[in-house]
Parts: sequence; structure tokens; C-alpha cells
Amino acid sequence: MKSFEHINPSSLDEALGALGKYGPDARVNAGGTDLIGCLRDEIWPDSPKMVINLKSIPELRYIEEDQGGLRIGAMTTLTEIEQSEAVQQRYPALAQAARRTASALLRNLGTLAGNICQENRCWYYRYPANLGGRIDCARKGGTKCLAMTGDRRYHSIFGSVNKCIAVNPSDTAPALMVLGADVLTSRRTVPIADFFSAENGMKSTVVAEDEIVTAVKLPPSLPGTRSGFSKLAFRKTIDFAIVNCAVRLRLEDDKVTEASICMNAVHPNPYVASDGAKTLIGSTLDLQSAQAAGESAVAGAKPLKGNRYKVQMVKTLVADTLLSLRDA
Amino acid sequence: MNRKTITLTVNDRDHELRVEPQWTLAQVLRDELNLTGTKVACGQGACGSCTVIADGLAVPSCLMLAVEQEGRKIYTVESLAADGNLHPLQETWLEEYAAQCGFCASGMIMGAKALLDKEDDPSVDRIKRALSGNLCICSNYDHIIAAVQNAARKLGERA
Amino acid sequence: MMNLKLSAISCSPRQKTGFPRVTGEAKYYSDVYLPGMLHARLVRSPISMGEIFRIETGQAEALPGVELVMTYKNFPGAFRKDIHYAGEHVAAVVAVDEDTAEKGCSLIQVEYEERPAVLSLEEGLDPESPQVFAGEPNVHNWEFQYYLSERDPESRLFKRKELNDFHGFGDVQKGFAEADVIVEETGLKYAYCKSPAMNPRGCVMSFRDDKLTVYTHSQGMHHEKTMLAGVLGLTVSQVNYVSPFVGSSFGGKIAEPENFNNPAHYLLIAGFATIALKKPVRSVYTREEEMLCGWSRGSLSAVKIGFKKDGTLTTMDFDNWMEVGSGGDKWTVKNSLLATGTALYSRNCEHMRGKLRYVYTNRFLSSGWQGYGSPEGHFAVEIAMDSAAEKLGIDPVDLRKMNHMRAGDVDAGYDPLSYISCYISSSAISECLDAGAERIQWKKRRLPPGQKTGRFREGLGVAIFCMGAGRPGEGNTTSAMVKVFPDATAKLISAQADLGQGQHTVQCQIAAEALGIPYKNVGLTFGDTESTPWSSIVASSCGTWFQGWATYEAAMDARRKVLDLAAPKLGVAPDDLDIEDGVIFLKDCPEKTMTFEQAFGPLNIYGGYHEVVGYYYHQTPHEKCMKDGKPDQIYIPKEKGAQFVSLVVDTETGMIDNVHVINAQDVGRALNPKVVEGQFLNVRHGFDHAVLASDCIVDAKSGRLLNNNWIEYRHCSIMDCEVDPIIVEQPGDPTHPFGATACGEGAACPTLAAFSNAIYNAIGVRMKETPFTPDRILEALGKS
Repeated sequence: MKSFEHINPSSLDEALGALGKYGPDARVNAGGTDLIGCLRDEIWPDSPKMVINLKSIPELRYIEEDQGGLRIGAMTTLTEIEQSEAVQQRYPALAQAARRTASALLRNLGTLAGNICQENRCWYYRYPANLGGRIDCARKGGTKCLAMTGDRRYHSIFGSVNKCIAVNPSDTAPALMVLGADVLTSRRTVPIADFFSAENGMKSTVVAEDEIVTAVKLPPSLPGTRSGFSKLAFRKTIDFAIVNCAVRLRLEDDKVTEASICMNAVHPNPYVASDGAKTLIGSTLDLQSAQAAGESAVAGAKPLKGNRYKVQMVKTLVADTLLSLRDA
Repeated sequence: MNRKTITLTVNDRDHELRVEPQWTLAQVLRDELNLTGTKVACGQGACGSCTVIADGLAVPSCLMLAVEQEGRKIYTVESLAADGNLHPLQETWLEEYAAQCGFCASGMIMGAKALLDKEDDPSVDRIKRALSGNLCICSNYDHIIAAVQNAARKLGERA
Repeated sequence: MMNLKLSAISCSPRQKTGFPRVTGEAKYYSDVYLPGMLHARLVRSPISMGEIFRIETGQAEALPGVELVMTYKNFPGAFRKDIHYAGEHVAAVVAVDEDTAEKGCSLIQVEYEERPAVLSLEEGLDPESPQVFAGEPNVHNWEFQYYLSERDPESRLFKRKELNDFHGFGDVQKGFAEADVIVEETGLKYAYCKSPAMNPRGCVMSFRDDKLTVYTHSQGMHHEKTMLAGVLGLTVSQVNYVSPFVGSSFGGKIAEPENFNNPAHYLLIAGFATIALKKPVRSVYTREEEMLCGWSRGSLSAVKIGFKKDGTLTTMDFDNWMEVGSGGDKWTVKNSLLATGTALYSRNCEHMRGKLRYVYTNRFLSSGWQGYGSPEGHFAVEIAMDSAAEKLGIDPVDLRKMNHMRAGDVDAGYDPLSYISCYISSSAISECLDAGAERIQWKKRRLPPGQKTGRFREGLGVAIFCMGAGRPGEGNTTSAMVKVFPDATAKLISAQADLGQGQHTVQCQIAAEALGIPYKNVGLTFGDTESTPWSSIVASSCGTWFQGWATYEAAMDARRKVLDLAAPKLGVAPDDLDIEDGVIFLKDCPEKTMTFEQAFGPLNIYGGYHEVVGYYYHQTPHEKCMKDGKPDQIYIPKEKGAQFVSLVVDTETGMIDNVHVINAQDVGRALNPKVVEGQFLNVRHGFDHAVLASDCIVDAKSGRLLNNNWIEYRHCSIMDCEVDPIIVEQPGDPTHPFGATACGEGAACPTLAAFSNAIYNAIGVRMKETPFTPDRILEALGKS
């Protein structure tokens, strides 16, 4: 790992001050489970000159609930989210997503903000420098996406963003999407639907160079609301998703009145299946309606040679996750 | 060189150290404090060989920067038999043949310790979940589960 | 054979060298830090094929803290100008710390002249492809294939062997012409995958006072020491090789520094550097480097089998093309024969032809690890046997029972270099099949695929196996030493490596049983070459069997010496005496006893018998391994057994879940049942290759290894696969002092076939390529 300067700010202001000073040469470190790997493998053309620890800022780690909903501090760990009664009872999709992220060890370090801001896992993008040199792909300002002409079995089935077909790997992101979260930063409130932005290159979100995510806010859970998350991965632990998805439904008298579906690991950004959700409105939740929603969710898929199977997988997963809410 | 002076509290002892910011906790434990019981096998947090207990939680020390650990109470495998007597987990590890090559043992035992510090009688499912980030390449998991269960029993008898 | 007391064997006493493993005190090589130690880091090639056109090291050499930059120019023994795979090492920087060494590496500029590369087995097989080694074809027939003939009607052994372009006997054409049913499977591909190891490879060396100390991991310290001394121009006595703990290896970390095509370059780099600089040097690979350099395996096979109507297997034709990367170990290909009519199905097979080839590619090296070529052969044959069972209308378990090898059958594939053919010493495969079938409820649960409906389909599969165990052929040697003390304790002095397979414990159990003293009274001196006698490399699952003889005979030698001391004092002959629980007694009058202390006699600081030393240099074949003492009629023990897999296929997602593997294996006698169980549990490695998508994924253009870490290359976690070990004991194998045979690599052999067969049973589609990933399953089901 290359050397860098480092501070442990005790307040958000102190962190922002350092961030303002170093600009693009600085990186904030939340749990570290993603960043340390990137630094170790020296995957970026310019390595950071400054790393700013966010764990030293106590005001960023909390779970608070009031009539306005639930606020989760950016540095709250995935273990804390998984174990929070409020999250388990009122936002099950998020609790389930946290529980299925990585492993128990990593969840003790990994944070919610880190999980939604993490880098993609594309094996070209992340190719380590010590095995014959870094790969400067399109996402790093290079000319080509090597996955596009290479091995893309785990890549996007809904097209590219800025030539890049690496997928967003987060498990909590689709849960937050369907739950209608807001991301609070040091300077603004961003609806989660506008938060992810693979268009922003290596940042993968809209967070600016001098901005820090401070919390995630979830709206109050309305009566009749159910939510869930599912993931298909090779292992039951440690693994990133081949595909995952989260759904939220509101039911009245057995009829779906609100529906939201979000898939991930299928596109550079978390992918909302609004057409799939629409098909459910007004219908009873059953095998037929769930499968129809799954079909609609992937209607616009543009799989590449080598990853067509993901369409079938995520279509099924959407239907399964919806059906799991029948008796929730 | 961007060295900083930090105080690390490891196994109830304070150590004043000059460290590079990019050094991981695992690196400093091993290279600077000679606590080589903590192993590094993957460097990505994907195997748990480097597991230590920090403020009561099992964590992969290969993904933690040493400069970020001031003020935390860190325990490594060396803390367990410091008084010369094996911890019940170490005893049962020997009895159940839970360490084959032994390279995962330090991390696996610390992961199990963090669990048993919180739960008296964990189910097999709880043990599996707690150790879900610790790989044993000899894939000796069945013996490991037995060792954790037996250690829980021994600790219960002692209490 | 001695009268067994079973006091120290057939039980699971506490692990002998377990204490330091669980306290963190065990010093693996990477835990060694020497004063003034330098660190080596490597520059690796981005290209797969070509040569270094220009290499500029000046900037790195000028960097403060850098003590040496190594390339093919100044150290041709450790580097070469030619590049044969992406990631091959091209330079090393040795510096005061790791950070400086890494920085130095980034300052080295290399220009390459790139040439077209061969990046898959299929490309290697294509005659139009470029040559990996100029002037040499990529596909080679294995050089040591023999046609065996003149079978002796009485001994059933072959008397004549002639070099041929295949290995076998009989006349396959005739065999197929006479066969009632013929089954053929082609395109069976065991994907190129990696040997696993917890501690990545590397070493720490120091050269002081003309003596080289090498801290590393080793399966055979003495053997590697000798090779390294030769390469570095040192005498054997100048080198001490230290490897008390290995950090797992499974064969994949075996180092052969004299062979450049063996990934032991850390030894060359640290060795040359430490001698040049006279300072300690550490060369440790990262996980990514280990993923790249670690030994791989993979092959393509085709099988054709002829049967009589009743299921008797008479004829087998087997083809294997084994990828060895850029010049890896070509010997592994011979082990693909183990699953064929030469061994596993030798019972009724009269006509056998095995065509073995090895294939060069521009990929990292392959060699034998955990199964040494045998898993690939089993994958092919055991899938074909499943097809055959269906075609013949015979239960797959029953078909195997009819045809598997029995004790006394002839192994015609083992090692024709030293023997033409030999006898299989024991085989309880039928008992293993019965035990496994009962546990998995084979008869009750296994329905044909056609009867299955619904989205989630359960499947059951079986495969049997045999794996070479020990090395009975001429020319293998190993040794052990046992010291016995007047307080009835002993010290076993042995270099036999404990990789995790339990040999430190098991060898002490053997010594204790032979001496008649409690296990806890036996200590172990181990860990370096200077304090131990020569011991052979731990490979071919030979620890208990091969080293076991040395330990047993050394202990018996010491025991005789103790009894020689006791006998005159008791006024009897040594043969009249026995030892139990550390007490000497008269066989005919057990009340008449004597302590070791009394037997050894008075001691003082100037004299007396303070210890007796037993020693044995074991040279194969041991007389117990010859049939009726005939040196041309030897027995070979085998690992053998049956594996069952049950799983559920989700036909909508292609995912495999609820995986349960049963390994039922005949080990002769389980000297330490817990250790044996532990060996069976590593069938999970097969699960990695079957279900977890763990094969080496290489970019088709650049040849770079894409899944080079433990997130993308997955190993089984504690949550993924249930394993049920069944130990089948049939004590009495004549080739071991306690009737044990072996266990270790065997369990790795049948797993992939058992998985494929289980998937077939679930969904009615034969998966002929590993791994069995959702994309392939969905494609097979027409859903992708």
C-alpha cells in the first residue's frame, strides 16, 4: 500500500475542512472494508494523498426513530442495523439486506454509508497492480471497457453507463431504494432515487469531492406496508450478489396499493423496475401476479453474451421476493 | 514518510508506536508488536485469519488502519493463555482436532471467543453465523463447531 | 506383526503439536522476523507470451533503502528473459522494508516484445495455435506409456511391458466388438482450478558464517534442502531447512527450486539475494500472487466403456488431455488412469487403452495437488459409469459393486517405471457403498429424473474412487529415530511434515503403540533438517503408511534394545518379554515385571544407559509388502471408498442448494479416527470446484487471472455444505504394521463426478464441464 497522510477528525467540520483542503486527493474512510482493498491493490491511477477517518466522529453513528421516520447515522455498522429492532420490524428489507451482506466479521466493520458508496467489483477495474500492473479501464479515464470485450459473466444486463458495464454490488442499496430513503449529506438531502450515479465515474454516486454522507433517513412505515430483500450468491456468506432485489408493497384488503421493486448487480446503478411494480397495483399478490411483475421487471433487459442467465435469475428472484411477502 | 505516533491498547497493555498511516492493524500487531498469532492470509477480509476482538467485536484486522485504533481495547489470541492456562476454547480445539494446519485457528478462536463472551449456549446456527467470515481451508468446520459447543459447556460448568 | 495393545492407536488423543497452533505461538515461516531483515517484492509481467525487450532498473537502484535489484541480467538463475504467462516474475527489488521494495518495483520500466499466446486448453489442442515453447509442439504424448502383456495365469501379473503411445493391455477393438453394451462420453472437462492454502508461499532466509538457514513451508524438508543447496552452489551441510508448521499445502506448495517451471522462485530470489547481501531476506507472496503461482489442475477427457449384458465391465478406452500450463508437471497425467480398468475397475476389465497427453498453454503452471491427476480421471470415468448404469438398467451402486477392484486384483497402471504390475492390498469399496447408501437412504430417496416435477428437484449421485497411496515401488526411502529414556518416556525424531493432516500426532501414536508406553510419554522433535534424520516428502498420502513403517521399525529397534537390557537382569531371553503401559513383564508370567529404570540400570553423571536410540532407514519395498516374500510380486495399498452427494437444483434460478456429501472410505484401521474424519471433511474442496464457481477465470485476450483473490475465487465457508464422514475399518491390510492404509487425497477424487451425477438425477441433464454454475444449468434446461 502506498503512503498517505491521515487524520482522525473528531467532528464533521474538521473532516470537511480536510476534505476541502485536499479535494480530489482525499478519500474518506468509513468502515474500510472496501477502501483498504482498493488501496492495497493500488487500483487507481492516482492514489490518495490524504485519508480521512470518519469513525472518529461520534455524531455519525446512531439509529434514531421519531414520527418523521428513522434516521441512521452514516457510520452505523451493518451489524447494528441488522440487530436494530426498529429496522427489523418496520424496515425488514433493510434488516434482511444488512444481514445478507458479506460476513459477520465484515458487518462489524462495514457501515451503511460505506455500503451504498462502495466501488464496483468488476475484475478488470479492480485488477491488482502487483500482478502485472493495474488496468486503466473506461471508468478510470481509459479508452476501453475491457469487460465489454472480455469476461462479463457477472456484468450489466441493462446496458452500460459511460461505456462501463460494471454493476453496483451493494445489498443495502436496493432496500433503501424501495423504502424511499433520503441520503443526508454535509450540505443537502438527496432522494435515494437520485443518489446513485455511475455516470460520476469512480465515485458511483452524486456525492461531490467536498461532501460527506452523514445519514440515511427512512420515511415512516405506513400501515399495511411490507418489505423484503433476497439475494442469489454462490456462498451463503462473504459473497457479493450474482443478483439481488428488494421489494416494498402496501396492501389493503388483499389488494396491492403501492409497489416498489429494485434490483441490483444488474446495472451500473441500482435498477428500479417501475413497470414490474405497476403491474401489481390493484391485483392480489399471488404466483401469477408475482411472476408477471418479474417478467415486466426484466422486459427491458439487454443481456450480453455470457450473462443472459442473470435475466432468468433476477426475474425469478423478483417473483420470489414478492411472494415471500404474502405471509409477512 | 507520514509516520504518526499512536498508542495502541492491545491485550490490556498500552504500546506507544510510530506507524505509517497505511499500515493495517494486522501488520502492526505482527511487525511491530511481534504478536504473530494474528495471521494474514487474504488481505481482503475474506478469510478471517486476522480476526481480533476490538471493543468486544470480532473484526478482520487486515482491513483496519492502525492509526484509527487509538482508544480501542484490542485483544489477540495471545491474550487467551497469558496466565499459562489454556482457555476452554483452546482446550476443546485440541481435543476436537479443530486446528488441522492451524493457520485459521487464531482468528477462528477469537471469533468464537467474541461469540461466547455474549452467549452462553449458542446453537449450531448461531455458531455458523458468528464464524461465517472465518475460512478453514482444511474445511474442518464440523470439528470447529464441536469445539465451540464443548467450550461453551466447559465455561458453563466453571461459572 | 506385534500383538496389538490398542492403547495408543484406534483412539483420538490430544493433538501432539496442537498447543502452539491454538495459542498463536506456532511459528509459520511468515512469522519469522530476523534483525536487519530485508524484504523482496516482485515485478510481474502484464503479457502472456513474448520476451523482455528492455528493462530499466536505474531509478529503482537509486532509491534510498533499496539494496538489490534482480533481473535476468544479473541473476539468470532466478529470472528469465522469456515470458510464458501473464504475471510471471521479471524482476525483484530487495529493500529495507516492504514499502520501499514496492516503491522500487514501481520504478522499474520494462518493455516487452509480445507474441501471440495460447490461453486455454482448447487453444493448446488446436494445431494452428502458436507454440508455447518454440520448436516444441503444445500437445505431447506422455512418455511412459506401456503396453502390458504375457499375463501369468497363476499370479495374474503381467510379465512384459513395451513402450507405446498408449497405456494398457488386451485388445480394445476386440473388447468392443464382443461387448453387448457400449457407453461413450466425450468432452468431459475438469476446469483449471487452484490448489488451496491458508498461508501463501514464501520464505525467510539468512546467510551467516557460511550457513544458510531457510524458514519456509515444506512437505519434504530434506528433499527441498538438497535441491536448494545444489541450485545455490552450497553443500548440503551448509543449509538448514526449517519448517515446523506448513499452513496447509495439499500438495500445491511443494517446492522444487531446481526446476524453473515450478513456482518456487521465492526460494531462488531470497537465496541468491541473501548470499549476495549477507543479510536476511524475506520473500513472501501476497494472496493474489499465491492465486497466480499456486499449482493448478484441469483436463479434458473422453471415455468409452464396453459391458456384457449383465453389467460386467470388460473393456475401457480412455483419453485424457491434461493442461500443464507453461511447462508444469507432466507426471500428473499418469494418475488419471487410476479411475480406469487399470486399477479402480481392474476386477473384470480385460481390454484397456489409456491415451495420455499433456498440453502446454501460456497459463500459470499446473501440477499435482490433492489427487495428483486422479480427480480428473475420476470425473470422466465416474460420469460414464453413471450413464452406463442407466443404459444397462442397473442401479449405479450395484454396477460399481460388480466391477470395482478387490483385494488381490492387479493394478496395471500404478508405476510401470519400477513394476510392470502389482497387487491391490485391500479394498472394501462395496462396504463403503453399502454404508453410504444406507446413510443417504439411496433406495428410498433416489427416483429417476423422469419422475421428478416441480421447481426444486432433489438429486442423489454416487461415485467411487481409488487413489495411489504410499510409494511401494523400489527406490523410495525414509527414516526415523526414537530415543527411549529410563523413565519410560520417548522422543520421536522425525522430519515428517504435518500439513494439518495429523502426522505429528499419528506418528507419535505409532511409536507409543510399538514401544508399549502411553501416548503422552512420547515427545516429538521436528521442524528442521539439522535436528532430524532424512524423511521423504509427504505426498501420495503416504504419511501413515510409508513413514509409519520407519517410525514403527525405529521404535521396535529401540524396544529391542530396552528388552536386551532388561532380559539378563530377569534371567530370561528378550523374546520372553513384553512391554505394556511402560512396564516390562514376562509374557508367561505377567506378574513378574521390571521398570525401564531398573532395566536401564544405575546412572551417574559419568555413565550408565541414559537413553537408548532406535533407528530405521526404510527402503521400499518392505518385506511385508511382497506377496509371499517375492520381490517381484508387491502389494500396493490404495485409498478407496465411495462418495454420495445429495442436492437440490432450483430449476428457475439454476442454483444448487442443500448440499450434503457423504464420504465413506476404507482406511484399513483408523489409527486416529478424529484425524481420519478431518481428512474426509476436506471433500469441501470439491464443493468449491463443483458449486462455488471456483475455477481460474482468465481474460481471453490478455491471459490475466481475473479471479485472483478470495472474494472472487471462493472457498467453502462454514455455512455452505454439510459433510458426513463415514470411516469404514477393515483392519488386516498386510502392508502396514497396524493394518492401516491411507487417507488424504482420495476424498478429492470422486467429488465432481458425484455432483454431476446428482445433478443428472435431479434434472435429467448431464453436466460435463465443471463448475456446475447457474448459467450452465439454466442453459441445459433451456432457460437461458
